Amino acid sequence: MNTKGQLLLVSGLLMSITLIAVSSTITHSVNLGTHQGERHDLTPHISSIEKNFPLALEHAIGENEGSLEINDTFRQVSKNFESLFASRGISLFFSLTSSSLNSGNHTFVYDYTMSDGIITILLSKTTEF
Amino acid sequence: MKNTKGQMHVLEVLLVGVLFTSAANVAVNILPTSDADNSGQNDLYFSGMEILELLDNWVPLDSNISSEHNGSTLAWWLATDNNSEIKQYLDSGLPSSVSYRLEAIHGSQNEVIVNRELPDGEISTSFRIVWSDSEIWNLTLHLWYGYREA
Repeated sequence: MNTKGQLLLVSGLLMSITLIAVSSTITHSVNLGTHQGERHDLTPHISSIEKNFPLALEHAIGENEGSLEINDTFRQVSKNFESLFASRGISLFFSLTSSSLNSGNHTFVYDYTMSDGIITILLSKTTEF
Repeated sequence: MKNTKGQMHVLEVLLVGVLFTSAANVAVNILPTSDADNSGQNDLYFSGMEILELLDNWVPLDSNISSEHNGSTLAWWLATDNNSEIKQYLDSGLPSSVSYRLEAIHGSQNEVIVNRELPDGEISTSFRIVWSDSEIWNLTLHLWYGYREA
């Protein structure tokens, strides 16, 4: 029996297993390190929508009065915002729950979902003008 | 025991392997990762996002101006092409080690509000969507670490 050869074979196998384990550990650590200290915060995006989306919607409703249904106008403005945020890597989706027009006052009840790929948030909103 | 020399050789090889892997593991665990992560660029991104957010939420003192521009100094300065005020605000608000370039798209117009040449290195790009002057303004703020031109 070639004992020396067998021992070398076993030691080679052990070394291979060790190398695989070490390289996996290093890869895992580097992946963790790349994202270490990263901040994920949707607040600036939310404030941009909260402040500016109702203004854009109000303007579009005024512009399209008589020519387009208010739900279609909502869809048009929301698609525009969704597209602008998508181009910046932020996923945004508006969902209109209800809209009404009483004595010249518009009321929109809607949700929007926003995600940066790590954090996803769903917000409900009512806008009146 | 037969072939003791061979067994010792195997043990030596194993020992070297164990030492090497131990050293690699210790290094991976304790060495700083500041050169491996991108938290610096991430910080720049949020600096840009927050400085634009602050300016957008900053209500002008004059109530007429405020009501005309929806309580936003950013919307007011954009609508009145007050690029010098925007530049002064960003110059004061961002760290002196950070330089930037501010661009805007509104309607069919592309304009550069603060014009500084983009460097070859890493750049963070922040943005803000603002309603101003009956238009959506898509602002792009490029930020990078480096000398800030006048």
